Amino acid sequence: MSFIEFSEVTKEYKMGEAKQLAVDKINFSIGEGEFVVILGPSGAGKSTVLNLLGGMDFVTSGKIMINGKNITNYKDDELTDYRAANIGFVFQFYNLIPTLTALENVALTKEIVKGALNASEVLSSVGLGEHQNKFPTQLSGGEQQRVSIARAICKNPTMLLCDEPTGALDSETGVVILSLLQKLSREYHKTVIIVSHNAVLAEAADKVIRIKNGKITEIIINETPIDVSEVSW
Amino acid sequence: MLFRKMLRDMKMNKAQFISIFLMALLGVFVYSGVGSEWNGLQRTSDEYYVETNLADAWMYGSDYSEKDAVAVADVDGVNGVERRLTLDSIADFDNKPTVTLHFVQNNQISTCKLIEGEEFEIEKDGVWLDSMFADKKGLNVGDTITFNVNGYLIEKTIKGTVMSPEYVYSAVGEEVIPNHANYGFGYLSYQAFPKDLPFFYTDLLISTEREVDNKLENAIEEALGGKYSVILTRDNKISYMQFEEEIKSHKAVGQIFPIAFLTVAILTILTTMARLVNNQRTQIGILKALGFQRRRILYHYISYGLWISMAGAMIGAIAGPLTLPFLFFEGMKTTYTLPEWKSAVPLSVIYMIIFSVGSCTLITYLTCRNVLKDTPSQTLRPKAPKAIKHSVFDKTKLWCKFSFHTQWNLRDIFRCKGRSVMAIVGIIGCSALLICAFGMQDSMKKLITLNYEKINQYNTKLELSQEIKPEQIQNLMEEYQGEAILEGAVELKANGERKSGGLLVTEDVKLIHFVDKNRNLMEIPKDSISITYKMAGLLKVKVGDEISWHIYGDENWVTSKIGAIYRTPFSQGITMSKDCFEELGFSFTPTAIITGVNITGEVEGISQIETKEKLMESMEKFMEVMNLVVYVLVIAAILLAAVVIYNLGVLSFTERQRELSTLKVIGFKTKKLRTLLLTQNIWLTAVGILMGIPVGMWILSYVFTFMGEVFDFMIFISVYSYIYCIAGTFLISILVNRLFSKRVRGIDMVSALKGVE
Repeated sequence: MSFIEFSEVTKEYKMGEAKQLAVDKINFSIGEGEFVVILGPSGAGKSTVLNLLGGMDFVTSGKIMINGKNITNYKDDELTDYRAANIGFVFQFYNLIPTLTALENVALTKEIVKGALNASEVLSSVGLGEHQNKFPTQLSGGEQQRVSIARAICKNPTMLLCDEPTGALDSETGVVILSLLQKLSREYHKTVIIVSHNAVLAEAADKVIRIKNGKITEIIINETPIDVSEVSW
Repeated sequence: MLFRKMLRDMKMNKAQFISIFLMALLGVFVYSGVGSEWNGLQRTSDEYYVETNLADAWMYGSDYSEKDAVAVADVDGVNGVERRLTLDSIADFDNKPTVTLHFVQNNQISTCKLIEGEEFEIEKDGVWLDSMFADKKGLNVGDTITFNVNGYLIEKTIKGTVMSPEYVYSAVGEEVIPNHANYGFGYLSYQAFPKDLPFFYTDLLISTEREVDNKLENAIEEALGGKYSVILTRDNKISYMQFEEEIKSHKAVGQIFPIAFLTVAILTILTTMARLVNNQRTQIGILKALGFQRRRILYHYISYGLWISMAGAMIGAIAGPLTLPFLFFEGMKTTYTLPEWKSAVPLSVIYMIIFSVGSCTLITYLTCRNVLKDTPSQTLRPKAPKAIKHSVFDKTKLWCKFSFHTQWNLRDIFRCKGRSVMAIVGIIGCSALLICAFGMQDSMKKLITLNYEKINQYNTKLELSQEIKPEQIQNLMEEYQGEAILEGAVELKANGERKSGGLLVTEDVKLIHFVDKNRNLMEIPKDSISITYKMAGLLKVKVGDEISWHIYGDENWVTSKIGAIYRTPFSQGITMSKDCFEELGFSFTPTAIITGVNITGEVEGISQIETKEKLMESMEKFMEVMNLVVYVLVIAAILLAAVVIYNLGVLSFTERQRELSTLKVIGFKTKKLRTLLLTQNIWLTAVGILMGIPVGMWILSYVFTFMGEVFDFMIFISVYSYIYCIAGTFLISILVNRLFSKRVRGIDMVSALKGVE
């Protein structure tokens, strides 16, 4: 059995009286340490998949197995523990706490998990050693996103879930961020799952899952992924 | 780390946190300050009465023997009895002050409290003199003083200066503020009484196990076998009653205002806290996504409200009792004599702190829990805007005719109901307090003119001494074109209620007029008694009913039919014509002559001269205390309104920043946007004032019912007061609005319209 296993997962949103099927009976699996890209146009259901995977939302039907455990039956508190122990999130809009410095934002993880890494070292490893004491508003978008990644890594999670991590960044900065994520997968053996609508990323991924209208249209396994930096933008 | 976040969040939302802090501080400050004033008075006087063993009942007669004392002491429920000789004397000063001398038997009941000098002892000769009187006259311990008792001179050395629990309030006649230069008292041992004068005990001081009720009163009467003339319980003793009434009225004022104030303060805290938490929605989402437990997030946000409101409430609770009571005590010291003026925090302050802090914490908890209820994925997205329903206004044709301004403001008011209601509540509080403050002054002034210009039109009242001969009275009346009146004290009984009141008997009087309950001049019937409006209310009687009454000092109860009800502000009781009085079997012996002539100096046969001028002066002094209350109320009202409006303004501004920047991008000028905000503010203020004025009048009438049984206050609010109140409230509202609407200029259009962050 794979590290992550989605079987017949459906998610339905109720908007007043209208029902909207965000994800419709999807199946896929992801192995540990894989660098996966979920591709699709906006509104296809990519973010929903990520939210379900990250334990930030409940499924309507179907089953999600993570590392042999069924998280669909988890209660709110169990999900919180699951998130705290396993998942590192990277959001499109960084979502840093504006009133905490870069270092403090990263060090926040120490309060959640026991095995947190050294915040300062992690920040240095993403190249922000010099900006540790700046507040989010004093940093550029790329720098903020690196803080956000550092915060995700610091927990030492088994997987990193990234929702359009480069969506708010220019392409050069985007490459820096994506290279960082790829490095984490290759060198530290983290499972990295990126949601994006940018098809060029496909060449760099171990696995590409294409979603459209809540259904999986294609799963491509890439035997020879190239470095992000070599992708032609 | 979260603690640091909290501190920085507080710094970011300075205005809100400061206002929460201030609100908690002010609310509890006023509550505990005013509370510890009346509680302090109560505590001090209670302790004073216990320490000096104030009598529970006084009996006045002509000669109480040892046997009488023993008989009363044997009555079930009586703890102790002491005899005392009381007589009035004139001290040897130019203004001929009256000094009441008490020759006591063993100094166990109603003892005096030593201020300076040596302790009172039965074996010692000398006098222990009223300290306030000694002060006024510059007398010191060791000086000698001579008392003139009906021509007999008693000279004594002052052994000490004292205060007495029977003279906490010692104003005589019609004065409201006692004049300690004209009146004093002295304590002496019965052994100090001149040997060549006949000695007899005139008073019986009785200390009882429980409060004196009718049963006990009757038992005491019985024990004396008819040898009794007057029995006064504590509630009938002027000094005790007046001070208790004063405390009662302070308690009434002291409970309604601070509670009204605290309510508004807590409401403000609640809305602010709820808004703060809701504005942190995304951040709560982040913390949740990171894997923080619900409990920790809850705790984090709860501590926001908890620490701030706790700090404010604590400082308020400490500062209030240390400042406010003493402000009021200063004014009260001219009226009342107490050995010390202590402020005592009432226990309810603790409940109030717990209540304010608790409700603040609870609302934070509830709001936070509400945000946490959503899944983190929802929480991370900005909250979906509330569905805006078309209001009833939209459907009317009128709506289309409204300008954009009006439409936008109306929608905004109805969309953010909580905020609008809060603003209105704040304004109601402000305008109600202002109306109360001004109305109190107006009503008081109106009462003074009513009493001294419409009702009592004489300029001087000559109090006749007891020895004056009828021819002298006739001469005085002719000399000053005066009118003779009889004033006395009566006990009234009807419907099972017993009250003491005043008696006024007049004969074709032209210098005293009567007014009905609407303050219009009226005539009182010649052949029956008339009762004051307030007294009629207290006894639950109306015209045509019968009441029983007797003059103090005369056990003869009379039952009379009420012929009319009249209104008078400062003394309650009954009045009748001389003919009616004589028909009931009394003889008309005048106690005073009133005249339109101004008289100063000394007049033969007159014990005291009261001039209108002096009475009004004493009223004005009395009003100084009231003015102080008025100032405190006005300041409180202004602060309250300012904080509420500013706070709501800043919050709604932050919330509408996107909307405002959109309008700005479209091309609205800053000035226009400010007008937009101002218009809404003015509407809410207007609604608040309209509702606040009746609320203020209601509070005022509530307070007036607690002013004491002697006073009959009538609400009167002048046009100016309405204008001041309305203009003042608008001014505060507009000024504060200007403060936060300044920020419109500073809106950064680009960043406001960018991402969620």
